[in-house]
Amino acid sequence: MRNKTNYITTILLMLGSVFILFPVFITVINAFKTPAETAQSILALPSVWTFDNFKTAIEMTNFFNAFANSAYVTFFTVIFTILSNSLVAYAIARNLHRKAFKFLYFYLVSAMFVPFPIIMLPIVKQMSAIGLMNLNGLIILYVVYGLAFNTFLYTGYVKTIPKELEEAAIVDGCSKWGVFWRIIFPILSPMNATVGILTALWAWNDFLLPLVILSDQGDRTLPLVQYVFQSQFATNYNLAFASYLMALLPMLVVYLFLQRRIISGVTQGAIKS
Amino acid sequence: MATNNKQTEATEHKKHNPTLAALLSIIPGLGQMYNKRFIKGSIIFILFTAFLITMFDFLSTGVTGLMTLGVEERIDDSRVFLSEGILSLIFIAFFITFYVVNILDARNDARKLQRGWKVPGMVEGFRNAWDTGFPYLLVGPGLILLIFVVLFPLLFMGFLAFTNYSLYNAPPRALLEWVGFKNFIDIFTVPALRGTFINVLSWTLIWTFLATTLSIALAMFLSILVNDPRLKFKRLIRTVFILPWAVPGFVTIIIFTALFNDNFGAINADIIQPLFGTSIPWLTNASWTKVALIMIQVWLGFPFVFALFTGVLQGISSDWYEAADMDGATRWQKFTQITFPHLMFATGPLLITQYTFNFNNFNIIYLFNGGGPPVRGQSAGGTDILISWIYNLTFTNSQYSLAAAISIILGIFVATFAFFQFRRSSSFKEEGQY
Repeated sequence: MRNKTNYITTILLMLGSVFILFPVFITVINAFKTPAETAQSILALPSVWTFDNFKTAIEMTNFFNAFANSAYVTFFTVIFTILSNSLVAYAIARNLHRKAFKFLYFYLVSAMFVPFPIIMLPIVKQMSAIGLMNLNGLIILYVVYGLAFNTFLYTGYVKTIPKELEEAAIVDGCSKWGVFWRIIFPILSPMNATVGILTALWAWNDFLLPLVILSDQGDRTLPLVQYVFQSQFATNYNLAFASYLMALLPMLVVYLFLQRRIISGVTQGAIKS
Repeated sequence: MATNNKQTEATEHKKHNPTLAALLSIIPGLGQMYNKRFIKGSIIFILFTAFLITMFDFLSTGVTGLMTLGVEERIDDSRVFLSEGILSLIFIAFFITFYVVNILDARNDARKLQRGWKVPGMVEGFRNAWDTGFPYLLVGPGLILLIFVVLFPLLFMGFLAFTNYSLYNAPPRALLEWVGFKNFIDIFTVPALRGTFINVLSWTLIWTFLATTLSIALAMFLSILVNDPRLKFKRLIRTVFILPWAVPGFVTIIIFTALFNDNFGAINADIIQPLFGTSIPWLTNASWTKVALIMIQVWLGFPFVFALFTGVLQGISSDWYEAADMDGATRWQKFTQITFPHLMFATGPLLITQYTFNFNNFNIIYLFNGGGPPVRGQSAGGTDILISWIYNLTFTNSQYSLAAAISIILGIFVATFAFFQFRRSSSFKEEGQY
């Protein structure tokens, strides 16, 4: 009974997978077709696989520049987020018995519920006032906005680390600063990975924040440059789909390779054991 | 002689008065000096005086500016007055906090002295200060940054809700004025506005409930099915199910916009048209747009929950099910008694964040159909939710004060919801108990 394959469920789920893959399928095949072919049938496979769409899309969106911008923002956001947010969460988690820190914890976590569009107007004005309407300003905002959710994740994890470890290290003459970097930070690595992955996905895919913060054309990130097609939709799907495909490919590759890491990271990080 | 000495010391301790120390600290630093901590006292005194001397002008003009919002038209910019006023308030709040801390500190030290505690030497004093201050030092920069990117903008919008900032009354051309609760009263009394507000609010609530609940239900159903040990291609199926999560949401949404296009989208042209001989006005009829939005959000939202549930299901010990089998439990009973409670307990707070996420899901509404189709006579489109309506009011219609007032209403919604749910969910209670 146990080892018998449940064919009905398997087939049902396979059908479900087809449903999930449908939009992805449409995007992929149409990226390789000419508009004339798409007009005939959007579902049919291309008769000739052409890469012209990709070439044109790369030129139209200045793809490599946008890619470099996205990579720059994502890389530094992840690095700074992990280094700073873990430190903040550690300080809070170890002092939650003090009133001031409990207040801080709730202050940080409640920032999670502030919808960004509400504070967008003042933020834009502020950033332009201090001249940070660029990629670096974007990085700063990501690191600070991530603080709320990441503190929530890290604090839960820090609490599971026994205090004796730190006490022993202090007895051995380690400074508080040293205790964190040499002992706690390495223990946090599963959580660092989770936070890193979630932050990377967020920073790479985000659309709204770059839209309002970046003022210079040359600074535009990958999601932003896709927006040029929004106005020209009716005329050329194929070009748009080719461009979207290139924009989402890097994360898709990362996902396929790190799949297990991502899933276990998310479940580990998010679920209280 | 020695005993005598000790006794005088002891009486001296008894005489040391915490209340006096606290009272003396009304002038910052004096209480600490009374506690014989002269260096600490003078540092505190110098810091406080320096702050007052340098900041007093800024603070007083800031606060008066906040009250008047500018006097001379075309010269005073009310927005600048508002910002500086808020900054002053933040500084004053900090000042008061430190002031109170200074008094409490003097009293605590005095109490300790009363119990016979010895004032530490300079080096040790600094080391103690470093030890207690270290965590604050780590948290400080983040806290300050958060004040500037979250608290300050929030306060700014909060104050704006009580002014008359709109397209026709905009600085620097005109001066803003405080209008009290007028904007809020307008929302509930001006008929056109009230109608729009009720429409948008009810759709926001329906949207949040349906889109989130359906994706959670679908995720639960699928994760339980996939967890069946008798299943083939398990890993492949899981990979596919989580795939939509890896694709940037905003790209997926524009792809869906293309697919749902009334005239040449694949869904009408290749599925509905051949099968039923008619086409569905996905983007021009508000009800159909709503249906499409919910379907897309379920597609986008279920993979994350699916991943979570899969993780939990794999962690449930099989002992539970074996025991249930022995008691002759049915499949349904096993689900309601074992699986469901496990899933809910482990993921409760995260599921709540899914609801708040959809409540504020600006991206999908804005990118799919721009909140449209437009509705005659109201500033919100047929599928606008509160957050996208606020965005439109601010960035397209320049109704800043109105938008700010609606933001506050929205904020109250989110805050109460989050508060009650977090209190109810048991796993969060446990968090708070440290």
